[in-house]
Amino acid sequence: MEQGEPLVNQTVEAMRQLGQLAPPAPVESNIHCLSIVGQIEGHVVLPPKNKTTKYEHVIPQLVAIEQNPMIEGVLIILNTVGGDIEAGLAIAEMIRTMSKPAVSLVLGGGHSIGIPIAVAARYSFISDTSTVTIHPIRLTGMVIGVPQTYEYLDKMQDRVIRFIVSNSKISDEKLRELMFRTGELVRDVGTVLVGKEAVDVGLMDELGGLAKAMEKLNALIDEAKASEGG
Amino acid sequence: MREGEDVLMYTILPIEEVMEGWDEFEPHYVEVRRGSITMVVEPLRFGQGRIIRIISSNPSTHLDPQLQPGCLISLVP
Repeated sequence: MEQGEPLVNQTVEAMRQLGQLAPPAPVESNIHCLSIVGQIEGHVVLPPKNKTTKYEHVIPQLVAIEQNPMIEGVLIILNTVGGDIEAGLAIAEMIRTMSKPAVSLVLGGGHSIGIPIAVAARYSFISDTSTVTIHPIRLTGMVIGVPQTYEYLDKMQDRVIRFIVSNSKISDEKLRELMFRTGELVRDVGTVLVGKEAVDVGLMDELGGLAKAMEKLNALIDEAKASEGG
Repeated sequence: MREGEDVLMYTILPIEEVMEGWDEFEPHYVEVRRGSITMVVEPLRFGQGRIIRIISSNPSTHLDPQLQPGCLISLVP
């Protein structure tokens, strides 16, 4: 379907080809909403049972957001169980180094590699009932021969910890303490933080939902505009 | 996942659950060109395909709501 075609033709075409009506034309918005859900998929395609967010799609989207003059800010909605560590860190780095303001909102869960992504935004929110699981990185029953050594895992873990610490208010000691705490998780070492607890330890900036996140994003956009103008 | 590939997962799900069915997972993908955009598509029945990946160096292509992974497109020219 060509982009220049009139909407009516596009609709008829969509009905003819798919038996579906095209969704109504979106209202132009100055923000973009990026949802990161399910497993974060890196260079290995995960089996179809997984719901995934593909990094090779998210990264150019962030480039487009940065470049598009119509988009002034990004709202990142997170409900992820974690995933590929390098892909997750790549997304987090892209969000952190954007010039446009980004606000993240953890809904449901922002576990494991979801944490660096959440804190990469300029301001992070967590909803009241959402949880964040902090646990060590490990290889559990990998099905293929992995050349990495324990030292490699340790270095990788340090990368994640360093990223979280430098982008949130939590201290290195506190994060490590939560990560290696025993007796909290049934099958593992680590900690589950629920809503406010994540704010109390300094991991997330504020407890809140959609309205608060939007308000903050709009405030950050205004701030950015003011500093540009001045 | 094939022999020799490695991936480091940092997730709360047990790896057995994430990788369930990987040994039977042999997707069949084809490359389709639409205008200047190349995409990797999984052919479905009735001449439809599900977009797996968009290959384009134009970043704005990746924001097109009709060209997101998982969207259905017609493979009939």
